[in-house]
Amino acid sequence: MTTLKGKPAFRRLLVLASTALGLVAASVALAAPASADVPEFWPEPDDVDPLHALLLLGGVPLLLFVVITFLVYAPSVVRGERIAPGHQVPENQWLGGPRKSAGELAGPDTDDSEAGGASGRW
Amino acid sequence: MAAGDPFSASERAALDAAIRKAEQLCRAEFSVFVGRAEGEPRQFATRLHNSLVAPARSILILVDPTARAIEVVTGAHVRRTLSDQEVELAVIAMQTAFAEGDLVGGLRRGIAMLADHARPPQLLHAEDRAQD
Repeated sequence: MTTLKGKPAFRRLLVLASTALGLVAASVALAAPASADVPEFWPEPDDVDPLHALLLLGGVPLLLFVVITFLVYAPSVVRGERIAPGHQVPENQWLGGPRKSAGELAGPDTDDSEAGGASGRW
Repeated sequence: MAAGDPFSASERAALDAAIRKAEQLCRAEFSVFVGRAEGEPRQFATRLHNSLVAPARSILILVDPTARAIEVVTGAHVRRTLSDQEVELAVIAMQTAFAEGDLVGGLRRGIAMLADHARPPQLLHAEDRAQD
C-alpha cells in the first residue's frame, strides 16, 4: 500500500522540480535581453558622472549610517552614559549607605582603629 | 536596567530584602557598595564605613568588580559577636560566587552568613532570670 501511495507522490515531486527548474532557466534566458543595448529609437542616456554616482551610491548609505548611529547613541551621550562597547564600567552602587560622593567621605581608619573585617580577591 | 547599572530592578529588590532580613536578624546595620574603589580597596572601604551613620554598629561590604576585590569592614560593636575569622568565611563564600559570575547571589549569601554569625547569642532562660 505504501508503494502505491508513494509512486504518485514521487511523480508529483518530479513534476514540481522540473517545473521549478524550467522557470529558473526561462527567467535566466529572459533576463539576458535586459542587458542589451538601448533600442534604436530610444533617446541616448547621458553619461553618468563617476563622482556623482559615487556620492549617490556611497554617500547616501553613509549619511543614513551616520544619522541612525546618532539617533541611537545621542540619548545615551546626553545622559552621560558610557557608550564604548565591551568597556562598560559599572556605576557605583551603595545600598544602605548615605548619599555622598567620594570627595565627601570620611577619612580612612588609622592604626588605633577598632574596626575589623576581611579582604578577598577573585 | 540602566547602562552601567550592575543590578536590575528585581536584583536590587532582592538585595534590599536580604539586607533588611539580615539587619532584623543581627541588629547590625548593613551597607553594600558595588563599584570602583578609589585607591587601595581596604582604605576606601574604611572611608565608606566611617561615613556611615553608626560605624561601630555597621558592617560594610565593598565589591569592586573591575579590580575583583572584596572588602568587609566591621565596626567595633559588631566585632563583639562577629569575629574576623567568621567574616573570612563569608568572604570566601562571596569569592566563590563572584568567580562563577553570580554577583547578586554571592552578595546575598555573604550578607546572610555575616548576619548569621553576627547574631547575638540567645541566652536560655534570660527572661526568667530578669524576673528573679
